[in-house]
Amino acid sequence: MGLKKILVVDDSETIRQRVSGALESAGFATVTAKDGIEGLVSVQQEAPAMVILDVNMPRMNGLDMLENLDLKTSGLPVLLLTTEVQPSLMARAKKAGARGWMVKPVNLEQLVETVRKVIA
Amino acid sequence: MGPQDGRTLLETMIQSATVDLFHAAGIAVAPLAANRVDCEAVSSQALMAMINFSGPGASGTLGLLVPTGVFDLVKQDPARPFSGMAWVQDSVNQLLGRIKARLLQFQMPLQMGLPMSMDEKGLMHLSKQGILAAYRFRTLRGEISVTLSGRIEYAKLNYSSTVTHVSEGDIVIF
Repeated sequence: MGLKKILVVDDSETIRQRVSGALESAGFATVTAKDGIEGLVSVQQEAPAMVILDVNMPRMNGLDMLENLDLKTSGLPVLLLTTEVQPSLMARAKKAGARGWMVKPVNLEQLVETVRKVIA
Repeated sequence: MGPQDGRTLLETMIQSATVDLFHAAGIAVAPLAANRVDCEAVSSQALMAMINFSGPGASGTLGLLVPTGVFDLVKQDPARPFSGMAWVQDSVNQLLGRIKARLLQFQMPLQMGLPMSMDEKGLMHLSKQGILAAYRFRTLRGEISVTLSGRIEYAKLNYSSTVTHVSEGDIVIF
């Protein structure tokens, strides 16, 4: 059986590199995208087992991408990873079917542990 | 809250947020007195980034200037290196996120823009627009500066003990 693939969508190169590195060290495969539009294309092309998604990004933000994913039909688990802490944004993500909200900077070991729990 | 109290509060927030941000990256920083940035003295080698913010009580730009020597202290996976410019843009984004979270407790919500790189011309432009304050921090590899320009209505800062929200590092499973 192949490695489970995680899509990391973030406009920050630093975050993409750090999160992907931690996930690959933990035995996952990763693909990355720089904004919501690239992210939607990657979901179609790569069929990831999970998405880790930033909120504030150019072209299409993470919440708009989330609402375009139709999670209630696909069941694809999505975790938001963002600096945002506003309850209204969290509520919007929850309503769209996201599985969790992580506030940057997150301890990478805790992030991997959370991914394992949610993807199980 | 009076303007002077508000100014002092914001200064404390910016200083604590900056110390926390660099501490999380394993870099010790110590706040120095707030001052104006001497644009002429900023090294062309400094990493500079800025991010806009807006809201009912404040709008403007937060800038971050970091000596390249400080970036050399950042731990990286050699297999997945990132550039200093990417790092400083991510840092100014996370810094504004931390300040924004602190301001929520004082009922001042902010919308964040996207981080952008900044060059010396951009810094001069910000300076001409009027930098409200520059917060300086000492490190082992030179001084970091955080600049704040724009409009802040300090009187709108109003503490609420009933506002609860998640904070840095929190993971919430729905």
